[in-house]
Amino acid sequence: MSFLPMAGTALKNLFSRPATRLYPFVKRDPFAGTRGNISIDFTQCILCGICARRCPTHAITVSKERKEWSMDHLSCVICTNCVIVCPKKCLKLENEATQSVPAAASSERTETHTNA
Amino acid sequence: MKECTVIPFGPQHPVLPEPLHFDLVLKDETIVDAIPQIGYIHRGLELLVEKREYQDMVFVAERICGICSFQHGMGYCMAVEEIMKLAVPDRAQYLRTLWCELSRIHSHLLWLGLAADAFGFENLYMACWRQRELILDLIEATTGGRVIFGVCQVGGVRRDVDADMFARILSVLESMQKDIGTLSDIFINDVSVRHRLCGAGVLSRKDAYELGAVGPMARASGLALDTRKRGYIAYGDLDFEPVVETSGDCYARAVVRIREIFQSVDLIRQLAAKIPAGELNVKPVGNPSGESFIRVEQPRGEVVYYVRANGTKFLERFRVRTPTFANVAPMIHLMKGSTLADVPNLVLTIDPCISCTER
Repeated sequence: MSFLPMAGTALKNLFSRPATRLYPFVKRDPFAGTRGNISIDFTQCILCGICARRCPTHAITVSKERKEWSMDHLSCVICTNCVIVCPKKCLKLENEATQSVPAAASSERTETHTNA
Repeated sequence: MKECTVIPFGPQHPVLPEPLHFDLVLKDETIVDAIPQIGYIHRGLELLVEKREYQDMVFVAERICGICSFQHGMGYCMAVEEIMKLAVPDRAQYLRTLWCELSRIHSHLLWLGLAADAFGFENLYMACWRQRELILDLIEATTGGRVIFGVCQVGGVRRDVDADMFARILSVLESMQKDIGTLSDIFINDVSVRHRLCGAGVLSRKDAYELGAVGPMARASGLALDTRKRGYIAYGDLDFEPVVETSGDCYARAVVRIREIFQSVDLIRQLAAKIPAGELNVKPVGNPSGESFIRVEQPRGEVVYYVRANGTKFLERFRVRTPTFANVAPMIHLMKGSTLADVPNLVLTIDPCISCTER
């Protein structure tokens, strides 16, 4: 048993630099494999709808009639299943995290591409 | 019962990160009875198995819990692989073991922090979480996610870890080991910590066995129960013994978890030296048909998965028996006869994960 074994660590902490960053002024670069968000190259998309069917959260909706691909970024859990199953490989994983937007601004949270 | 008082504890309580409710029946300061109530965050994840294809269900299984997420996804994959008789490549098994052990370290560091917070040692709490952040960085660099790994799939793993990354993991663990040694010295030797933990909530070996305690809870009471010794994934090739303490009190449970952190570091060193080259996964062909039970050791204890498949791409039943559920009965037993001030410590000492338990 000992008295005040934390004192050394506490004093060291007091006179050393903080372990945290001054977010959002200082940001850490994402790692090379970080799952940040999903982007689409819509010109390559054939609207097959496999991504929408295999999405665990139903974040992606594809309409063949309206020639429309849309994705609700706040529903997306970035499991990258769509990237894996896409036959044309037009979906891509990006390292930068999705920007947070107010939940009410539904026009901002849904990314839509149309080829009407 | 006239002279008894009933005090509601939770579901929102400073010491509980998750909603768990107790009706504590008190006589003066002593607890006569504790009536648990769960069900605040039931999300119906098990039913989703009928609506998601079996290969996609692993993403849902991972989200059962934010701490043992990898083991949940892996347990589900192992259950489906057993039905489909898939031979998972050795390298994938070793990588799964690596991520299991990294998540065990981060879970135990999280618990040590929360335990320090529960007995009012906030400085120690933050010191533990600072170490945990280094592990989370390693996990993010290898898998792409901080707590939800998303690298397990039916038939293997999705990502590889190269030799450079292994060297980096080992060097981080090397430097961490020294810092965690300093922190564990505080947990083990500090007079105020010992005053709060020693002798609080003693679970005898017999009670632990009869009430079905699992994980660190059972091992702190002298039961050498560790599912890893069954040798699933790569554990059969690694050399380790279950960490066992005999006193059965809160202090013993903290010591078991501290020693397990060092054991996990040692296991990662062993598997980094032994990992074979080879394929990362095999492609499952067709749909599963049949049923299987899988037992996996999570940071909190033994978890049991049951999967029944009917030959279609949707499974029929997926059931998870989580370690916290098994540990609730011993916890209630501990509470009876203890004082009200010890309740936060006792609840936290089983490392409760309510979102696992309710799914």
